[in-house]
Amino acid sequence: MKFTIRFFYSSLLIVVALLIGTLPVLGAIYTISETSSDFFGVSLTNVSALSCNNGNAKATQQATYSTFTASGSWYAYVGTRDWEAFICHNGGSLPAVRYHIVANTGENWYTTVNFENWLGYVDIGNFDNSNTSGRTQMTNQCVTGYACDSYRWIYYDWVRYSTW
Amino acid sequence: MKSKNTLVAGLFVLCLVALLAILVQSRAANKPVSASVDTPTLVARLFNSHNLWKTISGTAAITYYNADGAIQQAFSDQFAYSADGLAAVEVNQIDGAQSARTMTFISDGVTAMQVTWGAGTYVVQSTEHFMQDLTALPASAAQVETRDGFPVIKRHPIAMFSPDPLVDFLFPVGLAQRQGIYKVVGADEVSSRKTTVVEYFWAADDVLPVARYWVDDEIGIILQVHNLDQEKPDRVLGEIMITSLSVDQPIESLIVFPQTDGLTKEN
Repeated sequence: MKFTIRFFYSSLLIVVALLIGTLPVLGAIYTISETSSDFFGVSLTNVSALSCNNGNAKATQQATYSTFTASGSWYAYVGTRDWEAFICHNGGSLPAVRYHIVANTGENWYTTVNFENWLGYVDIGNFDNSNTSGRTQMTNQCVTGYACDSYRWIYYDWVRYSTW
Repeated sequence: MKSKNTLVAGLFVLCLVALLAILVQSRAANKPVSASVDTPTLVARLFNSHNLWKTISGTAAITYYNADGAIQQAFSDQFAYSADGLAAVEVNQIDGAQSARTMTFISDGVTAMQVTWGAGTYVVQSTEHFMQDLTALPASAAQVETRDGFPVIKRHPIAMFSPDPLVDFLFPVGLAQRQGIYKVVGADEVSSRKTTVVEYFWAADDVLPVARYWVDDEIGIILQVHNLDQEKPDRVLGEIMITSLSVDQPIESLIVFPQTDGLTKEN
């Protein structure tokens, strides 16, 4: 009898412990959101291409490296955690793009993505603090050491981020 | 008369033998050397490359070509990396016999600094916003997450914070995660190191490859790259070639942050 009662209470304790351990996980819903389409600076052209995630992207040409005549930048405001840029490979030669990611805490970082190499989502960094938001800035200026000419198109599709 | 005929016949036979010799020799020269690994083994080596060395350092030449085959831009690159985040990169632009210091990048594993000499600017940033846990990197194609039918590519953290144009080839785990097709086509030597030559196609039904890579047989880094035109066979649009390489040699003495006198801070 004693054994049965002990067994019952032990089982109950295990179930309670499991529930307590599971609750925070259940509360933290993992979502993935798309950036808003707030663009500043250069004029971006709408393009339709199968290799772009939803068949649509925006694009601009890279500056001529000697003159930077078409220099400009644009922003997308994004949320927190893991940031991914969608790289849309629509044929031809593509440039490298230097992303500047700025958090509202003042933290910021740069990462260079050679569009030539990728098709799909590419990790561009993360914030440790899930309450931090920020923006990512891309420019059409040349990136040192990478191929650059005004015929290279930068396709801007989505930047996505995850929250918990 | 008889001796004249013999002479003509002899010359004819001699010409035939010479032609045959030339033919055999040219075929032997064009014959691809068979690779020692198959494609799955090669891709596995790309996934695992960053675990196969502790430090790498060397020099490289980077050349981009115009449509007419003329050189559009050329750079020289000196690099040193350690698997735990040290980095020293110097990129110079080459214009004929002239060489201009263009970019310096230094990381001590915690802080990274990039100087763009032409613009007279520099950036200092923390490396903390790039993945610290290397076990989160996929180790095989089966571990690559996909979303909406596209891969979610996790580049090596050093590849994310270094602006070095070589970096995706020195840390090829990101390239291995792409959805296209790799095909081993032969073997070769680059800078006295044995390599496996592999072609990469964006899609299975593509006729022409988009790139050709020479993958180091020992440590899996890519020693030579040809970015190819998908419209014209074998037209090289861009070329990267490692011209010297040292593996597992000390690089600490190269980790020296440049003086910032006269430079403007960017961030």
